[in-house]
Amino acid sequence: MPEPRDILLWVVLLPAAVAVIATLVSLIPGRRDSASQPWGPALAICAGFVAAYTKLKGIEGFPPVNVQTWLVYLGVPVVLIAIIATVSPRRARWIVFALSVTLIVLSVWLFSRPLARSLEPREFWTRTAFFAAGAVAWLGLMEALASRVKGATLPLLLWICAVGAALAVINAHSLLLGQLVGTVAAALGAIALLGLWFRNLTLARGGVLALAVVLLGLILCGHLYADLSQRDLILLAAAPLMAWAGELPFLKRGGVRFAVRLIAVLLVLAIPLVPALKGLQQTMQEQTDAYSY
Amino acid sequence: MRLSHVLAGLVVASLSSAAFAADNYKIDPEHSFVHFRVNHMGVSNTYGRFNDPTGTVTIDPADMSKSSINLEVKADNVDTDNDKRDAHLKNADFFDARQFPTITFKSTAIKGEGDKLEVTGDLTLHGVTKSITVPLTKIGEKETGQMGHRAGWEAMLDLKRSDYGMSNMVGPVGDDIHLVVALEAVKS
Repeated sequence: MPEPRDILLWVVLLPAAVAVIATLVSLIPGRRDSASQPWGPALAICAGFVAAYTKLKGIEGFPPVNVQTWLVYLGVPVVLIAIIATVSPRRARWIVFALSVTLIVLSVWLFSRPLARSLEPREFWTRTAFFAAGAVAWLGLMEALASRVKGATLPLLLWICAVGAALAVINAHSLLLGQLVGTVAAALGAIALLGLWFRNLTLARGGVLALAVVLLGLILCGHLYADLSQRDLILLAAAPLMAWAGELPFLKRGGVRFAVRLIAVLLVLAIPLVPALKGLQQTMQEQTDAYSY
Repeated sequence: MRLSHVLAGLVVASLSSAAFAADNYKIDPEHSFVHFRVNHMGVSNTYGRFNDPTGTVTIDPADMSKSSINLEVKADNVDTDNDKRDAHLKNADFFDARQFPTITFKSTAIKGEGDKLEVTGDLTLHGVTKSITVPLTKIGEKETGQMGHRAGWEAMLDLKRSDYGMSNMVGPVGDDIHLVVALEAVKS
């Protein structure tokens, strides 16, 4: 097991610090009512992840042999698309969406590609299309939600989901992938803290795309290359979407809306998380026994 | 030229080619072993193996350049006698068996004679291919009757897993891997 000090430094503090800097720069001039530029949260999530990945795993040359390393390189087009979203006029948003969809489909194919050797072509393409369609739907729904919900609410709920996903992936026998999900959680936590002050901070048109590629990509890798079940993959991806519950028309007060969102997210997240926590507790118990590996 | 001379020539030619033909062997997975040793937390060594190695051995004593060894093990066959540890080893943290399902060794040159050989070849592990040279010792060769004509070889080698991109958890789990490869093969 890695030292707790290393986890704190490289999985939590490093990506959080990078995320804080990137988000703050995007909020210049820094007034409380400033809205973040789309590239800010995208850069915060991607740069935080890349910094931590470099330390935890090291970066191979291009093209990478290991599919997880694609996550590092995919951060570049994510930020570029967010920059296009920043500078393009409102009527050109369909271009940003089309680029985002293309990138997500490409990333799902890149993550799945090694399995083409072991699966029948029909099964491989069916699975890849299923995951790509799910990720595109996730992007559309989260993008719409992010444009309605500003400030700390969405980053906070996504932080909870990412922490839950990290624990579930670790319990699925991949400490490395779990730690990498943890780095995304750290970046989200930092953005959420900034969102408490900057009420107009938004994940729309940049941050959500970064999460669709990096966070969903890592969870997908947890399913494809570790032992995360397909059910848990779907539930972990669906949990943040439950934040839509706060958009029910009869919910007027902000506190109630947040509570409804939180409960809805936790209800779905609990299904994969509770067994994962039990599994981790059992593993920790075994680690202290002589029987343990 | 008389027909008898032609026939005699053919017989001599076939006999001489039979005498110098390469011996082809198929590795017997049940009697072949790929064992490894790795340090655990600096306090002890953990041992494991890859079950059911497969491949071929071709030895041509007359022309060693025609000899070859091809060995393949499935990363998913890693076995350390602990299900949880094996599951961890098979996943993305270590062998990443679904992404890199096979570990292969393909010889590119074999030197030496008799029972002591030096085999150079490409080892592909975790998607990374590197050329290595391994001393190979012939243990024995025998016509066993029902189980066919068999021969056995053994090699020991050391490598660093980080050289093959397996750098996760280096420290708690050692970087230096000691391998023992024991092959038994049936002449085909």
